[in-house]
Amino acid sequence: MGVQLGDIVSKQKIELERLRGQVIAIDAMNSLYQFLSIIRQRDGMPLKDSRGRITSHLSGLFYRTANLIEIGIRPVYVFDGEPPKLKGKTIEQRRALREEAAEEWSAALKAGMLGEAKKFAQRAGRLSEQMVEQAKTLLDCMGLPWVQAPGEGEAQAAYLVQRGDAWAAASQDFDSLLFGAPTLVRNLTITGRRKLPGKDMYIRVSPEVIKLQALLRELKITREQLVDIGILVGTDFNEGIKGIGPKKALELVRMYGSIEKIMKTELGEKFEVDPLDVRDIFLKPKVSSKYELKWHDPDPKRIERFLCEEYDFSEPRVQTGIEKLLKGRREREQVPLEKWFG
Amino acid sequence: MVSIQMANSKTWKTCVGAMVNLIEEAAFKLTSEGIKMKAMDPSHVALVNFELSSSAFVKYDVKQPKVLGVNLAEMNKIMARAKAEDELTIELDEEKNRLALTFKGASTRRFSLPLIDVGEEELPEPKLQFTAAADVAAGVIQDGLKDAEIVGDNVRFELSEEGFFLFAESERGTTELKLHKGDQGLLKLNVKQPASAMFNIKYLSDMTRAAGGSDVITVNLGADLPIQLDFSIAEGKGRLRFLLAPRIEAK
Repeated sequence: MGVQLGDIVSKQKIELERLRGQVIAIDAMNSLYQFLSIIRQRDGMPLKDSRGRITSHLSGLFYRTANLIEIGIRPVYVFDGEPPKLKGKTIEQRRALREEAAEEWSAALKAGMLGEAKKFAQRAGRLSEQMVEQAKTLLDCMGLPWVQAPGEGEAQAAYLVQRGDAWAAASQDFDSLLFGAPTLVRNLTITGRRKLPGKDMYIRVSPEVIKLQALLRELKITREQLVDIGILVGTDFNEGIKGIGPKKALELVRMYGSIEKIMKTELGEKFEVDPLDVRDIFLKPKVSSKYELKWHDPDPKRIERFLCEEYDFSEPRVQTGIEKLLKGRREREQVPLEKWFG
Repeated sequence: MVSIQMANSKTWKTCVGAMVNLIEEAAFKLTSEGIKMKAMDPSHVALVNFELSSSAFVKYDVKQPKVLGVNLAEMNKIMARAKAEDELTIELDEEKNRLALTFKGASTRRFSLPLIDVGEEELPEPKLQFTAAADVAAGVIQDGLKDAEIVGDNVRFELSEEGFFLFAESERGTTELKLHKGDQGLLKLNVKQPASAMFNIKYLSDMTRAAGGSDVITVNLGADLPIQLDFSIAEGKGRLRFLLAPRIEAK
């Protein structure tokens, strides 16, 4: 979910190849949800092992990450910690949506409507704590670093980029920008040919880069004001004001200057939580400097044991993935040009 | 008002053709002195620095400094239609916020393309202490890159008192190109200290693709520093410069 700013954010398409050598902090939850939602069988059932355990998230994590590694990208997955208290409502809403979708899914299955069933099944995906643990174990086997955020994963990812430890944060959501990530990459883990939801049509998804400074300059606002726009539209921590989309929010922020001033207008009554609390989540996020980014060699034996023996993955396919990981290991590091800017 | 004219289309065609591989949008800054454009590629690995003096034009009418933002891919499509010997006129239609390009050859052809808002990033000048330089025929470098592509993604550039060298290696094999002092393709060599660094071939081919085989590229190198490639354009009245950051072996 996250904050919907698509309408006012100009994105620059970039070839995946161009990200070669870059460290990218990936929003782990966001990616795992994408995998869980996209990687499905025709009737909407997620991939499962012989014991009935869901494996869509592991399949996505392994094969998609191997593709990134192969071309020399250095991914760091950043996992969510404790959600801020204000997120409770969003979490509750998501659960309700999932439950509703699960019911629609079984109804559609019973009616024999496969297309419909898949659509609802994708919305019913739930990421359990166990699945998150499995993902971390798999990353360990692959020799990849991952970071446990104290709070929101996107905040921690943004922090990694601010400190220069990563070149960009990767997520489908724009929240990373609100958290201050200087560079955001979208579509990173879902690049390629994608089926349009509910249609028998395919499109090519390619990564997009959004630079925070360029965006702020283009919109002629500050980061604080961008956060304020997010608050008006709605974030994971507040509902936003009904009927206000990104364009209208931009207009309001430009007109009044800040959320404080907007609170004094008639719109002020329409906030269900204190906007200033939400603003603090983005501007003073809980992040930690206690992390270590170390890339190790992948451990083919452990990967096979974990994926093939434990979760019934196809051995030849896993072997191809392992080869990609080994190829990536030999990739040389691309230094960004900024290193030489005085 | 902006109305400028070049006796032929070659310079503009080649430069746009080389820049378009690296950047999608460009902000050309026009002053009475000439045209400048500087931009980094989206992944901040390469920098394009273009300068063309007003003396390169047969007519150069720029009353006030002006920034023209264009989508390079679109401009390149138009320039690809020009014949090298066509007389080129570029005019600004301020009312419609469009740029008009006219090619005059066997016939007169006119194209227009919309101007766009390009975020003007003020790019700092990288501080680079190069220790070696050489003037090399573009065709030699183009060949060396194509050779290196056979075995891998990276190529090592080396400059020493003996000459100019390119190496590539991977599990697929090795390639090398040697250009010794006195060889035809090496026009100048100036080595204070031997230098070597490794680069992504794809970027280098993008930068050198548009050059003619006999064009001269001035290569500047330092130990594990970015590489600087300079192309002299419009009979020395302009310069197209590329900087590319090196790749350093992962720890």
